Order: sequence, then structure tokens, then C-alpha cells
Amino acid sequence: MKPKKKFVFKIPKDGTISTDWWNKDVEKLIKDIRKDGEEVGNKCTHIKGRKHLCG
Amino acid sequence: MWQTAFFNRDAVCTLCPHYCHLSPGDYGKCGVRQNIDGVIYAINYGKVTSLSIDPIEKKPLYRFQSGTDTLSIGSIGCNLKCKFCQNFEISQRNAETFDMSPEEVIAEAIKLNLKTIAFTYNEPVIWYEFVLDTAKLAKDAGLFVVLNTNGYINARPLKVLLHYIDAVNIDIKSWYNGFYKDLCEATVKPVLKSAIIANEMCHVEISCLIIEKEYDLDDDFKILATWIKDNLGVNTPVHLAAYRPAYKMTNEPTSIETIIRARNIFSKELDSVYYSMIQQRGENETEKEIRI
Repeated sequence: MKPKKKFVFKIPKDGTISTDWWNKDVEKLIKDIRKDGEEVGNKCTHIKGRKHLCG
Repeated sequence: MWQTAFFNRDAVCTLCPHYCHLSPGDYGKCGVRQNIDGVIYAINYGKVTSLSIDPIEKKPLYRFQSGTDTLSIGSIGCNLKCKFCQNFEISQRNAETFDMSPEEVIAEAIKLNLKTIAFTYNEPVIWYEFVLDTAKLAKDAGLFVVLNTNGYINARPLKVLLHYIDAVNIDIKSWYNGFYKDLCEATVKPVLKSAIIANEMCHVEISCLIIEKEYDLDDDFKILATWIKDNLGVNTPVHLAAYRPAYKMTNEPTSIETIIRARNIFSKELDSVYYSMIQQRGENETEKEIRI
């Protein structure tokens, strides 16, 4: 059995952390919520401005 | 709106519990409300950072118009300074914006055949005038309006706004004042008060953030769950959000085990407890997922 890797977080040089991967996760979550199994996560449609926002 | 004038053109912003005392030229703690010649203006009025069509469950709202999509819109700024903010690019910094009028927002929703407008991404409370103007027009057009808010607003402005709001998700980040003071530069009491007021005026769902080593004890969960049951009702939907590193906080992401433990404790007091942001990512880029 492989030893479990310890979580190590690398801080970017500007001291902040990107959250660009957030939307990918939430889309999976939404897909699970909808009972009809429709892939509604893919319906997050960006119209204008900044992408990948939480909420 | 929502200010008290003083001599020498100073003014106090009475919108949120910070009560920022602003001399001419000063900005409030939110970074977007400025004293210009003795009058406080929201300089982010009509300034939009993002416009998207999102499922309403992403807000998260699971018990209001579920299965439908929202026209989601956000601006810049926030009156909390959470070290773990997931949207710090727009809430804690200047971000690129484009202009929209309330009429244009309504027209966009109608054009896209969407029944709900969601003010989200950054804090809608500090976008107050624009949210209010748009919400009034939305009501005239037969649209629903929802907020995703931190609840850090004074009672009077909140009650005025809620006349035009159909549903709210309020983020209760912790039960403890020390948590709010240390990590968000705010206090918890106004948030709890806002939740009670909103619950009397519209549909309310609650988001609770779980951060290990900051807010992860059984008693922490039990106290908050009991408060929600006693003050908002046993049927109030609660979304347990797992923390993950962002902005200035580098704690390890909240584990799935902790979220499950929290859900078990919340579920003893409340009927509808959900997970949110539950996946975990480690150094080796692998992810684990559990189903609701």
C-alpha cells in the first residue's frame, strides 16, 4: 500500500492562489444534484466578463 | 442612500455594520462607496465583472425554482475581508468591468428566457442601489430575484431591499465572533440578525463554511445547527461548504471525513443538510468525490 501523500500547497509568487479549477468541480456537483441526470453542469454559460467565479 | 451627514462634509455610511466614517474622497471598507463632496456614492453602480447563466443550484439554492437557470451577475468589492475568499479577484481588488443599466439586465434575462436574476459572485449588499433598482424593474417584469450574500448589512436597508427579493442564500461562516474578527474583519451578530429578518420576508437557505482547525469541532456544528433550527426553522436548507485554499489562507482543504461528520451532526437538528464544494485535491492532482 502506498503511503498517503501529505497535502502541500504551493503559494504563487504574488501571494495569492488561483481558483480557476473551481468551476470544473461545481459542474460535477450540480450534475449530481439534478435528479434527471441531465448534464446541467455544462449549462454554466459564460456571457461576458470574468470566468470561474464561485457562487 | 443610507448615510448620516456630519460637519465639514464628513459622512457615515449606515448601510452595513462597519459604519465607516468618511471624509470627502475617502472610501468605505468595502472599497466601492466613496464620499464625494459630502455625499456617499456607490462607485460600482452599473459596473459588472461577470455575467453568466448558472443553474440556480450553484448559488446554492436547492429549494427555490430548482431545475431552472439564473442570469447571474456580479460587480466588484466586498464589506468583509475574508482571508479565504474564493472570489478575491473581484471582491478584494480592482477588476475589469463593463457597464450595464438595470434596464439592460432585465432585457438580457428576458432575451435569454430566464425567470430569475441572481446577484452573486461579489457581495450584493455593497452594490445596494443597483441591486434595488434592478430588483424593482424585475418585479415589474415578473422575474424572480435572488441574492447570494454574507448578510453583513444593517436591518433597515435590508428590509427595504427584501421587499423585492424572492430568495436569499446567507453565508454564516462561523458561530464565533473571534472567527469573524480574525479572518473576516467583521462580527457575526449582524449576520445572524440578517438571517432572521430574511427568513421572515423571503425564502432563505444557509451556507456554512467548514475550515479544519478553525471551525471543525462537534460542538461548533451542534451550536450552529441548533441556532438555525430555533431561529429559522427545522426545514431550513443548509449547505455545508468545504474550505479550500484561496487568497491568503493556506490551511489544508477540509477533508471529506470532516464534512460527513458535520453533516451527521447538523442532520440531527435539521431536515435538509447538503454538501457543497466537497472534492479534495492534493499534491498528486487526484480528486475524490462523494455523491449527495
